[in-house]
Amino acid sequence: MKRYVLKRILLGLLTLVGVTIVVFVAVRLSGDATLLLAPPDATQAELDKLRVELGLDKPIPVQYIIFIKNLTRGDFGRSFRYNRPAMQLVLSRLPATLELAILAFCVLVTLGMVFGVTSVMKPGSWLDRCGTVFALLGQAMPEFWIGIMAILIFSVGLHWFPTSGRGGLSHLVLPSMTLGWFSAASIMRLTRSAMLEVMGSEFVKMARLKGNPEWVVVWKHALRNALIPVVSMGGLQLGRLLGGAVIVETVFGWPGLGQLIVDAVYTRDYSVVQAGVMVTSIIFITLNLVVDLLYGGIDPRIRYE
Amino acid sequence: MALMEKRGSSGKIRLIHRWLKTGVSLKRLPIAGICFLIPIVICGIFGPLFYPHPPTEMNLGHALRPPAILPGGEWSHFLGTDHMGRDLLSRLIEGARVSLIVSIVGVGLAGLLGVSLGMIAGYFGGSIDNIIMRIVDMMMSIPPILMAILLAASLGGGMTTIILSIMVIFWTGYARVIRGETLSIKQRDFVTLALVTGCGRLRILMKHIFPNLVNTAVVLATLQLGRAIIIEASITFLGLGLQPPASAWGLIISEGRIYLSTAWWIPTFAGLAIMMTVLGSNITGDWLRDALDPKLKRI
Repeated sequence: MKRYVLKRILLGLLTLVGVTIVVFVAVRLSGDATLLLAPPDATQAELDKLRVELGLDKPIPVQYIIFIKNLTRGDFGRSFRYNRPAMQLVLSRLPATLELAILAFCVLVTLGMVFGVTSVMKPGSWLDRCGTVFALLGQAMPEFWIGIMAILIFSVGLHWFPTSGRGGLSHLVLPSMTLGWFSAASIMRLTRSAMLEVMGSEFVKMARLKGNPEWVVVWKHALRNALIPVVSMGGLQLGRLLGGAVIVETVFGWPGLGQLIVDAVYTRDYSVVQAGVMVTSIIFITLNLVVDLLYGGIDPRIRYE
Repeated sequence: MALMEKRGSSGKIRLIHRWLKTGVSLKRLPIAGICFLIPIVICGIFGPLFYPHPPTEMNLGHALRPPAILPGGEWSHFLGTDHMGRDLLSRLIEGARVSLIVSIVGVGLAGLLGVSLGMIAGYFGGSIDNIIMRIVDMMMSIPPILMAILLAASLGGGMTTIILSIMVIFWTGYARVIRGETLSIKQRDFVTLALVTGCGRLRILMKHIFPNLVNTAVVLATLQLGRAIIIEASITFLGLGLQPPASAWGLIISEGRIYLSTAWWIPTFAGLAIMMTVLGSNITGDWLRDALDPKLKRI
C-alpha cells in the first residue's frame, strides 16, 4: 500500500514535469510578446532592450531551465501586464473558481445520483424518461450556449438572477447550474448503467429475500456496489469542471482563474498562462490520486500492488 | 480471423459482412439520431447549392430583422438577420459545413494517431508502452479546453489549428482503449498461430490485430464527434478559433451575444443547430456502441 502510494505520487510529479514542458513550449510558440508590450513606435534598439529585460533573448531550452530553477523557489515569474508575481495573481483568482466548481460539483452529484438511482427503481417510468432526456440534452449543448440561454430566459426575460459578476448566492445559481449540467449527464448515465448491472446480482436478490424494503435494497446494498465507476468518474468530472469553468466564467463575467487565463492568452502574458495551467493541472492530478486511493475505502476487495 | 482471410473476399465486403453478422439489426435503427443528422449532413455537403443568400452578403438596411413568422420579419430571411443584415439561415447552413469538416477530420486524425500508438504500446509493451502511456497521462492531466486554448493561442486561429487541437485532445482516448484491447487480443490463439506460421510483427499487427479493433475505433470516433463539435464551437466562441467573416456556429453565437436582449434569435438558432448535430451523433454513437461493442458501455 505504501509503495503504491509512493509510486503514484512519483508518477504524478513526472506528469507535472511533462505539463510544464508542454505549457512552456506552447506558450513560447505563440509569438513575440515584446511586440505587444512595446509602444507601436518603438525602435529596434528599444525592442531589443525590452527583450533582454524580459529574458526572451536567450534560447528556449535555457529559458526553460531558468524557469524550472525559479519554480523550485516558488517563483512563477511576473505578469508582464499587471507587473505582479504570476502565482499571486492566480491564487487571488482561485477561490472564485473553486467556489463555482465546488457548487457545480454538488449540483451534478445530487442530480446525477438521484436521477441515476431513481431511474433504476422504476425503469420506463416518467422519471426515468425525464432523466434520459435530461442527460442527452446535457451532453449535446455547449456550456456557453446553456449560459447564454439561461441569461436570456432568467435574467433578461424574468429578471430572477443577475446577468454577470460575483456576489451573493443569486450570482452563483446560473453559472453553477450551467457548469454542472454536462457533467451531471455523464454521472447519471454511469450511475444508471452501473446500477442496472448490480441490480441483477445475487446479493441484491439476497437482500430482497431477507425482506428489506426496496429503497433499502437500492440505496444501501446496490448503490454502494455501483459506486466505484461513479467515484472515479466524479474525480475526473471535478477536473473537467475546472476546465469548463473557463468558458462559463467568460459568459457570466465571473472573476475567476479561467477568465484570467483567457485574458492572459490574448495579451500573451506567458507567466500567468503557465501558472494558471500548472495550478489547474496540479489540482487535477491530486484529485485523481485521491480518487484512486478512495477506491479501497469503498470497495475492500480492491488491493493495491 | 486468420481463417476468414483465406476465403479471399475483399476487405471491405468482409468488414460489412462481419458488422451485419455481429448484430447491427436494422430494426432498432436510431431513427431520432438519423433524423437530426441527415439535414445537417445535406447542408454540409450541398449547402452552397441552395442557401437563400450568400452567407457573407451584408445589407445594413435589413439588419436585426426577426424570423419570418414574427411581426417585422420577411419571408426572404426565414430565420431573420444578424447585426450586419446577413441572412441567419444561410450562415447556419454554411456553419454546418465548417463544423462537419473540423470535427470529422480532427477526430479522424486523432483516431489514426491514437489507434497506431495504442496498438504499438499494447503489442510491444515494455519501455515503448511506458513512454507512450506516460505521454497519454500527461496530455490527459491538462483539461481539454485549456489545451485547445493553449494551442489556438500559440498557433493562431483558423481551421487548421482547430483540427490540430481536436487531434491533440482526442488521440489519448483512443490510445488508452486500443492499448487495452490490443493487450487482450494479443493473448488470443489466432495471434499465436500467426506467429507460429511465420508472420512478421507488422503483418500480425495489421492483418490480425487491427481488424479486431475496427469496431472499437469506429464506436469511439462516433462518440467523440459530438464532443469535438462542442469544443470547436467553444474555442471559436472565445475568439481563438475561426475568425470573422467565417460562418461558424460558435462565431455566430459570440457575435449575437451582444444583441441578446433585442435579437434573441441569433444565438438561439445557432445553438439549436449545434444541439441537433451533437444530439444526432451521440444517439447514433450510442446505438453503434450497443450494436458493435457492448464492452465499451462505460465510456
